[in-house]
Amino acid sequence: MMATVAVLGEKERTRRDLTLAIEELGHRVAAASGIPDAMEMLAQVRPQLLVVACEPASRLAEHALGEVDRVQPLLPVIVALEKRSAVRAVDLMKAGAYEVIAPPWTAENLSACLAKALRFKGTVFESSPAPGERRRATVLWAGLAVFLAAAGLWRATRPRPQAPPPPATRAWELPYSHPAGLCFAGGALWVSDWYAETVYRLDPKTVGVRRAVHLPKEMPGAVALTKDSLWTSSAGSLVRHMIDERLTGLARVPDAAGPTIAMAYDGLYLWTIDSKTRRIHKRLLDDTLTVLDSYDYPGMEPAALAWDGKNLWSIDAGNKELVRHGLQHPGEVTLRVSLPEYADGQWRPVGLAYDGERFWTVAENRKNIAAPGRIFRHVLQPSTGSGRAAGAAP
Amino acid sequence: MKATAPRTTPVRFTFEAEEGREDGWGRFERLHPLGGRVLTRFRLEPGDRLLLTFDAAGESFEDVPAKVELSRLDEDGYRVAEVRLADEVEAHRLGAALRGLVIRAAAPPSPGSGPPSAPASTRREGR
Repeated sequence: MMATVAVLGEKERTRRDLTLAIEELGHRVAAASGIPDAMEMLAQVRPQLLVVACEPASRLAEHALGEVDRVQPLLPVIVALEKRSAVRAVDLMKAGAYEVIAPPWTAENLSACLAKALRFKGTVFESSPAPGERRRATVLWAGLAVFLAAAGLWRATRPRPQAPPPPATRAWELPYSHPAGLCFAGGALWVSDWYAETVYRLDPKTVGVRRAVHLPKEMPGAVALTKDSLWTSSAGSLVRHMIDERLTGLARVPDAAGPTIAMAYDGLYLWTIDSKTRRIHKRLLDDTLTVLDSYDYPGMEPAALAWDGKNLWSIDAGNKELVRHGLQHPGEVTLRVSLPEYADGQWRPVGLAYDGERFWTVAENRKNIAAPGRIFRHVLQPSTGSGRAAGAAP
Repeated sequence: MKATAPRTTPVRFTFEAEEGREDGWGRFERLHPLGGRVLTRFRLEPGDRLLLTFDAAGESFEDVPAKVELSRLDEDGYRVAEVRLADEVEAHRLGAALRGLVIRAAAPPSPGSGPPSAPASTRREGR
């Protein structure tokens, strides 16, 4: 996005350095050497951002902040200090600077804070579209109608190639009967079995067992892999394991949020659901797995959690649905997808994972507890349930 | 309970163990009694031991020992670091200050009073 950036600096060399670096990022620059010129420039060119270059001892930035507050109060101001000073930087931020940057003022160094400051916008208020916009929209709609008519004619008359069969959900039997959790990491599926007290590592291509690790002191339920550890829920605790041949136990944390039945890691936080309150908990990976926030579960019976790289997903075993949660408010649903594999009630989903392309679930047999568990690789169909309708892929 | 301030809170950090490493600064995106999430342009790695100086809820905190627990880059190239306070006394003081702020923010305004104002330290920063 190209923007107009105003640069204010008393020294010609600093103005030139900043101008070159900002122009290198594809923005237009308007420069001024003093406060009166800068304020006149703000009124004329209406920049999206003001960069003030000054020495740490100078009061130029404070003067500029005061004037900007009067002339264009929503304009973000970045102060470029000619020498690095953390004390001065924090003072300027307290005085109203959006950001304070230190030398070197290279394009690479400026890029991040300009991008962030330019996206810092308020609400746009419009009572109605402008007349010019309405005319342009009419022309666009007419053009689109002609294009669609031509495309429809071509589609009706072209020879039809043989369509490949649509991909379908696949299921495999597991060599054990009581799966309890599932996650995907490091190119492998990790499945826990509470009865066998074992965590299995499966090859997602063949669904064959690559490794089985017996955890005699545990009854592993939900599982999640963080950067350097495997976490399992076990009888009121969350257990951290080293990712080695024996999944050596490193720490056992009493589960303050209640017995965890579902768990997922988003790269920063551990997300869990407890079986008592059925709430979703956002937790810090510290010594006590501090709960930072909790949200009511927007469904009937939460059974599993997974992170797809962008969104938190869960399985609602009651509604037999895959649920995508709001990023800011996980208590809200942005998509529900029904899972017909569970429609007949024979299988109880207990684990969920996303491998970068497809969702996987593991399930135990509701009617015959000795029957082998099952793992599904899903091809999703959009649901008519609540939430925004969207394609099947996340 | 939580409250969202209209502005973010600037924070200065010095490195406890590495004398050669220059001070840095950033903003608290989130603050809780155990620490918070700092957004900064400077490199912070898990395990870094810091001394944090910041104002929050009308209280000043100076050179509070803290440890970087997690760190990642966001889409703009800013470092997002989860820091945990290592001084229990200061953590307790921060917790008390934050609880007071949240309770004040949640309380209905009394008749005749104006809108609740942000602490002086956070009123205008981060336009």
